[in-house]
Parts: sequence; C-alpha cells; structure tokens
Amino acid sequence: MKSIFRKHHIEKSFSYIWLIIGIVIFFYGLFLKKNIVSSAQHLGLTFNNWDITLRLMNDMYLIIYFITPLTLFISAKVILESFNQQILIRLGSYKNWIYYSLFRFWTVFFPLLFVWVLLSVFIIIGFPQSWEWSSLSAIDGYGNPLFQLAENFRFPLIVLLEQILLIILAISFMHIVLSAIYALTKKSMFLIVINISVFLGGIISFKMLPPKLSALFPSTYLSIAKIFNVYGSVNLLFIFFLIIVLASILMLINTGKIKKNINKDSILRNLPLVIYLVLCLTGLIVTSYSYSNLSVWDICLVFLGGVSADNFSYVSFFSYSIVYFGFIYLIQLFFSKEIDQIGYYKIIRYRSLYKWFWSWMKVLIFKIILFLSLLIVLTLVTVVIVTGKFNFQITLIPTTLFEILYHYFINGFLQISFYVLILFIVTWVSKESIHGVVLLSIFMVLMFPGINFTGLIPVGLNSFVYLFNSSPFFLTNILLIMNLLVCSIIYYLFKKSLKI
Amino acid sequence: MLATQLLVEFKKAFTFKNLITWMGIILLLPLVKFFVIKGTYQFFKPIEVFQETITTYIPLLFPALVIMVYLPLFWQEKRNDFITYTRTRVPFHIYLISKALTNAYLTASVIFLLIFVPFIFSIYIEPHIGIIDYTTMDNHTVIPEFTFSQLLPYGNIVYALIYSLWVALNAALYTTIAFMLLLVINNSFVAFSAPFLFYHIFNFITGIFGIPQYSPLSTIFPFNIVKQPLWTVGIPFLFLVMILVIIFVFFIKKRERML
Repeated sequence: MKSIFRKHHIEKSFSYIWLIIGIVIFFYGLFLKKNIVSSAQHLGLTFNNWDITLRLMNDMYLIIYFITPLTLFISAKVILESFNQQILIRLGSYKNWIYYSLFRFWTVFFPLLFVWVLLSVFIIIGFPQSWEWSSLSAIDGYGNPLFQLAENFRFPLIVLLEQILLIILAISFMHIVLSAIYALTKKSMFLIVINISVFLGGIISFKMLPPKLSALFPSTYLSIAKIFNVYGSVNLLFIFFLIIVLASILMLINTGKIKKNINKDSILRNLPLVIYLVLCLTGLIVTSYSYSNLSVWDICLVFLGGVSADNFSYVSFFSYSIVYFGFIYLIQLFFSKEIDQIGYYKIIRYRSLYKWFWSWMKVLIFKIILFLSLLIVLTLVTVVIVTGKFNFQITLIPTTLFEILYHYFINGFLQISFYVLILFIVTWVSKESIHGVVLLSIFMVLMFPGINFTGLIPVGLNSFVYLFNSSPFFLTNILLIMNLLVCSIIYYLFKKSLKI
Repeated sequence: MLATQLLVEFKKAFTFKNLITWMGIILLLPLVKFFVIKGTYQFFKPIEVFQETITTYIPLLFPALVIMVYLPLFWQEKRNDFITYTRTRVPFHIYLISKALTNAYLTASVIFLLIFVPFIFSIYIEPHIGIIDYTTMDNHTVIPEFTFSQLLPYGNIVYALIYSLWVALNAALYTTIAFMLLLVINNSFVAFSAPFLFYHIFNFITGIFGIPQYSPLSTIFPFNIVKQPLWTVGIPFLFLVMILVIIFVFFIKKRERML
C-alpha cells in the first residue's frame, strides 16, 4: 500500500513548473507594486505591506487567467494519469482512489501554492511595514479590491490566513468533484470539456455576468475579496464549504466496491434521492430569497408550513407535497423492492411475518428520525446562508419555540409513520403498483380545503399552519389513535394471511 | 393486420371491471364535486358551475386517472410474459402499436367524457332541473375569465369540444409516456408514477418561481389563475412531447435486447 504513495513521475514532470509560476507571479507582483505606489501618490494616501500581499493573493486577473487554468490542468493530469486498473485493484474501491488522487494532487499542487504565498509575502520588500490596514486599502473604488475586507476584518493577517484555508478547501473540493466525475464516467473527453467550460465560465462570469452569478464558478472561491463582493460576508461560507467537503466525502463512501459496475447502476440507484434533494434545495433557496425580510424561523415556517382547511395556497401545498410526499415516494420505491421483488424470500428466511415487518420497520423508523433532523438542519442552514441573518424570532405564528419543535418532531414523526403504514397496507393487500400512485393522489386530494374541516383525517396534520387554531398535543392524540388503528389492521392482516 | 389487431384489443379492453372503473371516473368524480359546491358557492352563470365542478380534485387526480384507464391491463400482460406468446400469431411491432393506440385512444376518450359530460350537464340539463340557485347579475358583477374563454364567443359547444379535446390530448400524452416507460423500465412502479412525478414536480417548480401560467396543472385546468394567452398552454405540452420522443428513441435502441 505504501509504495503507491511514493514519488510518482507526475510530480517529477511538474518539478520545473513551479519555477515558471514563481517568475510569472513575481513579475505580476512587481507590476501591482508599481500600481499601488502610483495610485497612493495620486491620492496622497499611505500604503503598506498588506496592500501588496493581499492584492497579489486576491487579484482576479491572476486567479482567472493563471491560477485557475493551472489548477484545472494539474487536476486533470493527475486524474488521468493516476487512474489505472492496477492502482484501483490495490486501493480496493473508487472512494479510496479519490482520496489517493486527492493526495497525489496536493503533492503536486502544494509547491505551487507555497510559491504563491511565499512570493506574496516576500514581495513586500521596499514597502513600509505594519500590522494594520493602510489608508489606501480602506477607500472605496480606484481599483482597490480590499475595501470590504478592511471594513470587516480588524487585522489583515487574519484575512491572509483565512484566504489560505479557503484556497485549500475550495481546491480540494474541486478536485474531489472532478475525480468523482471521472470515476463515474471514465471518459477523459468529458473531464476535459468540464475543465474547459469551468475555465471559460470563470472568464465570462468575471467580464460579463452580474456578480451574483459568478458564485457559480469555482474561480470566485479562490479570492476572499471576490467572495465579499458576491456574498457580503465570508464566515458563513467557510462553514458551507466545510459542510460540502465533508458531505461529498461521506457521499463517496457509498460509491461502492470496485467489483461493482458503478457506471450506470449507482447513478440510477441514487437518481431519485438526488432529484429529491435538488428539488428541496431549490424550493428552500427560492423561498428564502422571496421572503428574505422575515426571520430565520419564519422562513422555515413558510417553507414547511403546509396547508389546512382554512389556510390554503398552491405554493405551500406543493412545497409540502414535494418535501413530505417526495420522502414517502422514496420509501415507496424501497417497498416496491422489499415487498414485491424479494419479499417472499425474506419472509421465508425470517419465518415470521412480524419479525420480517420489524426487520425493515426499525430501519424506516430510524430513517424517518434522520430525515426530520436533517430536514430542519438543512432548512435552517440554507436560510441562514441565503439571507445572511441570525434573527431567530418567531413572529408568524403565535406560539413558542418548544411547541414548534414538538409539533415538527413528534407530530411529524407520527404523521410520516402513518403514511408509511398505510402505504404498506396498500402494497401488501394489492400487488398492483398502480395503487401506490393512486394512494399518493388521494393523500394530496385530502389536503385540499373543504375536506379536512375537523382535522380528524390524519393527512397533512404535521403542517405548521395547524398551530394557528389547534394545540399540537391534540394533534398528537389524533395521530396516535390513527397509528394504533393502522397497526391493528396490519396485525389483523398478518393474522389472516396465509401467504407464508 | 393492424386494423384487425386493434379490433381484438378493443374487444379485450371492454371488460366488466374496466367499464365500472371508467364509469366511476366519468360520473362519480364530477358528481361528488358538484354536490360539494352546490350549497356553498355563489353562481351567476352555468359556465361557472362547470368550471368549478372540474377544478381542485380532478386536476390533482389527473395523472393518476390517466394511468388507471387501460395501463393495468397491459402491465399484467407484460408481467405474466403474455406478450412473448403472441409473437407466433402477430408481429411484435404490430402488437405493440395496437396496444399503444388502444391505450391512448381509450384514455383520451374517458378523459374527454370526464370533461364533456359535466359541461353538457351543467350548461344544458341542470338549468332545466334547477338544482342550483343562480344569483341574478347586476352591473358590478364580473364573471372571471380563464384561459380558453377566448373560445366562448364562438359558441358554448365549440368551447366545450376544443377544451375537452385539449385535456384528452394531454391525457393521451401522459399515458403514452407511462406506456413507453413500462416497456423500457423493469420497475413498474417507477413507470406508472413517472407522469405523476412530472406533473407535480413541475407544478412545484413553476409555483415557486412564480410562473404558474406554464405549470402542467394550470395549462390543462386553467381555472386557478387569471386568463392567459392561448399559446402559453403549449409550452409544457411541447416539453412533454420532447420527453416522449427521447423515450421512444431510447426504446428503439433497446428493442433488440428486450422481450
């Protein structure tokens, strides 16, 4: 295992490049230095070492036309050259290969980053030195990219450290994504096309598109000044990046063993989940944008608000349907495999219907709890990132945070498990897969105004709008009774069933 | 060859169970909604009764209804490998084409009647029976207009025919997509739910982006938004036609390996 981490010919082929990059950055730094001196003299302001250091690290021309293509080139070269069957077999899985290629990438890229940072620090020779911001970096305009940074950070040294961390995170993330794409498709043309479009997209977004859209291109994330320009803050983005990197690493754990053909199978298997997540996120982001004047919890209440007999709007109805019935649909996909396809074999193995039922029901219960926790965390984090606010007051519904959380978790759990149990009954009784679709439609119809007057039909009872005129504990009682009823029906069905 | 096969398929489709299902779809759903709105709404003209009858429940059930008409029958044939044994007496492609045509035609007819029968009832029959008390109109009364109201000046029956045909055409498209997917995908639940998913996901997306005039729901049943130009209804339809073509090409490529 250790030997494949030895020095590789890729590193050797790159060893001369950091000399060239050093020369380029050095001369560009001299050019920037001249600019700073002339504009400071022109305005009559003082300047110091941080002006040149941070400008050299944040200069968008340098990043877009030099650093980005270089990074993409190194990334593609490392991926294409380190991907072969021998290494894959020794590493055992695609996940390990991605870690391996990340390691390889950093052995090549680290000297370049080192040269960049080192030159940015050493080019200060001849400039007045200080630990504070100069008056030149505090002015708005005149081609000064550091204005917002000087406004928000006390010491420029922190900016430099955060920037280095940001570059490491952003570039690692980019390489992980690229190598995952290559591991899935194994098409070098595809990888090259993506790289070229990322590069060109960076140029186009820099020159032509409004700053909001340049958030889509990775070159933005190499410059902390540009991020301030786009987002107006940076600390949240750090968390965001950390989450994405961690999530992508965690996701990769599921990419499977090497013997499996992960090309189409794993993509198709995860496609419903991916579509579901994309839909939820789109809904969340758009809702947070359009209600950005509300507080964080209020946006949550709007997005997961749902509908009741008195409060109805198509948008919240469809949001509820996508979030909760989308989840039920994913469970239904699981059922269609668990019951229709391998049900009989598993029942024979478990010998008792109850044991079989419990064997997957406990997994589903765990999944429901996980789903609810992740949903609320995802919602809060997304809303905070999009609106950039930390205002956690609840103003829309006259209730307490405890009641909201109680309603969300307890009633949400009971409601979803009611859906799941009903779904199981339908799938168990009728072997027609069409009835699952009909059932979901009926659920949706039952949520329409004019039907569920009394709130006794247990559909959509975990909507937040029910908190307007009923207590969450009352809803818990209804849901508990209905769940018990459904459980006894299942008990009866199993008792009667001669299927075993 | 195709004509005889079509005749055979038609005969096979008219089972007692199917007829009951179809009658249930055509009569029961509008009837339930009609009695729900009877006492609670205020009406000025019969056309409003019709529009209110077919709103809310029927649009939501639409993607489920279109797959209920004929597809379960076809799915049973495929699941039980019945199709393999028909190859000795009828060419494979003729068999599939006749199935697809029967499916599209029957679904479209049932959905057509689902719209057309309530129209005839509420415009021509109900005023004579007098179940609904119409409020007399004064100068301030505004009858809301919806997409397709552009056709009303040409006569009630033209409106009814063209609108019902439009819904029927959509139904045929949705059910054909499910039919093609049943051929291509092994998991029948995914195939059956594809029109349902498309319908509701696009309603959601157009809803949150604030362009409900292009949502599948509001282009097929445009009674929840204000009047739009007629061309807007074509956008999701054309998109679906494109999807159908893509699935068809996929099917052609896969055909050698299947069945």
